[in-house]
Amino acid sequence: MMEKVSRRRFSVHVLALALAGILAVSPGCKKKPQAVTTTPEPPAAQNSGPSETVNETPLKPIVDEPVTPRSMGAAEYNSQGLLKAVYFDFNKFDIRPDQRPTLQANADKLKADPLSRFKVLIEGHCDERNTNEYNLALGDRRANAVKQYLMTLGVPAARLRTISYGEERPADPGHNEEAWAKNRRGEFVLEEG
Amino acid sequence: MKTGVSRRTIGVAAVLAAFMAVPLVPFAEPAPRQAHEDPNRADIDVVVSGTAMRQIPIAILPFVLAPQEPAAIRDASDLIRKVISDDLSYSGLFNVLPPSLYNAVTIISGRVPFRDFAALGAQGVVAGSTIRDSRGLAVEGLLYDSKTEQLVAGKRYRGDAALARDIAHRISNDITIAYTGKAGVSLSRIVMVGKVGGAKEIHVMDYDGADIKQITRNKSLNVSPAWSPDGKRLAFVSYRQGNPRLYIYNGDDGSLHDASPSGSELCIAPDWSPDGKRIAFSSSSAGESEIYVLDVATGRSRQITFSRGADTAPVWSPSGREIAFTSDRSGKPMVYIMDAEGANVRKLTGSGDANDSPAWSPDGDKIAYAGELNGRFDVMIYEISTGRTLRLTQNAANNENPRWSRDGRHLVFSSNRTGIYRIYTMDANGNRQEMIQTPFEATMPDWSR
Repeated sequence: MMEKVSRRRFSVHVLALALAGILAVSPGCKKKPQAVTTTPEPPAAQNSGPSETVNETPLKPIVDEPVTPRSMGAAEYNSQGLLKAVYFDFNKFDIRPDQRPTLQANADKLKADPLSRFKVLIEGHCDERNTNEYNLALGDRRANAVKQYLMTLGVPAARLRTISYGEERPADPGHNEEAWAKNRRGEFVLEEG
Repeated sequence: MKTGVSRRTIGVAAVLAAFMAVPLVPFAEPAPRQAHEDPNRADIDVVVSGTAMRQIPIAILPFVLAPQEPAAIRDASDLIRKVISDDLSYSGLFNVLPPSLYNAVTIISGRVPFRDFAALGAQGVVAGSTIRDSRGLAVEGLLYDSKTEQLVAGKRYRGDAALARDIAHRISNDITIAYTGKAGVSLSRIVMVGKVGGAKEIHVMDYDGADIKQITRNKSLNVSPAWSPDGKRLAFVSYRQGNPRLYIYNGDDGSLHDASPSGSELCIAPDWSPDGKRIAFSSSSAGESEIYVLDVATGRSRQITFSRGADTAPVWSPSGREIAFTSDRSGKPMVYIMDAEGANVRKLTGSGDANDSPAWSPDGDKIAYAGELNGRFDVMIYEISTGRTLRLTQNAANNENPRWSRDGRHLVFSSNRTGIYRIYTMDANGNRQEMIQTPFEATMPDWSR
């Protein structure tokens, strides 16, 4: 029925009238569209100005809709890199003194909005030295060491989960000390609560 | 999984009738060694069932073909002979005499000229035939003794032409059994982790690197594959559902099931018990990584280590009564042995900076492991009876994750000696370290029984 109406050049008033008709009939859908097609008759068109000017006339009342920032999910916060990785010494899983400020900053962010509603996956990673299987165990310990530290800083254990990737997901694919230092790390991934 | 080939023992009379021989051409020069063989190794004594035995000189005749066979059959026939030759050379048990000495022999009437082969020094003579068959190929593989002129072993294999390599491996295995009483590695396979894009997927190949098949395709991390003793199943660890969990892949039907005991996290490093009923693995469910034993049928698991350090990488002894594993309870990772119930823990190796990835030899007397010295790993062997430690690899790279072949004559391991990790095999004394070509970075091999 809209097709029928729109093909003809009607003034906006007529169109509005037609729409009103449609809106009036559509609830319940008892009446069929034929009733509407009779409404747009030429006489109504004569007392309106050029159709260009009436485009500004609203077809229906404007409804105020407050626009708020789109709610960001864990994935979007993760892409912002809000939580910084922490790094470990070779074969070690204790938190280095120089890494404590990073963990403190991460804990502060996790306890405040907007991150306070997320859970966190702590990933333990290793460099390629040591065997794959030992590194899986070492990565697990690193993740747990980070978890314990965050807990002492007041992040509830229920929000923290750990996983070890061993040496399987290096941050730097290189085979030198510079790469290894980047790969011995704990990373943080926000998860929906 | 290796199906489609029926085996049938055929009678000696039928076999001999199939072979018509003419005298051999004169043997002019001494046998040149094959290029890939270490000249110092040709006459090495190999140990078979506790007795020293020289390499068996063996000749492999071209397989007999009917004149009108199509190229596909002729190619299959040539391939079969080549694979048998490679298998027997690889085994270390045989000295395959250079085919150039007898390639020109055309057997058209009479019999195999055994005396000429005996004069050449060939103790065994392998002959055979390849013919077209309703199934594709019918291949006879026959082993004769040149002195007794008797058939030692003979079978006819029938199957699709695409199974030519498989048929050749079976013939090689028959020959190996005829001399040693035990199956060799010819029919064995190697499972490994291949890096595909950012993922690590489980792959399987023949022991010689042929026929690489991708098993997992979940674009996740799939690591630590281990063959079941019957070679039909693979246990491995996959991150496909997020956390590392233990899975069993059944090669017979391609099915995959999550075998992780309930509540366990970080299941890693599975190893099947020799009877195939249990899987030892490590898990950090209890905090630190500890070793558990899973009953495959019931899905129930039992914790068997309770130490303060991380215990991981468990492997069963061939008797199933003991388990070797890695632990850093003393500060750095070292190899320990315990009873399969977890009692009687003792430290096995103390040298080096770290020792990991133990693997128990099939004869039970040796434990191979990756030993770290100065930041690099080498494959080492600890002999339990003598307390001796042997170092098998020595180069400026990592050599890791050793696993034994079923006959204990070879080891497979991974190494980044070329700059990128690949799978290598070597003899159990460290000789013949050879890379297997794979189209991806490859680690964590395990050799099927």
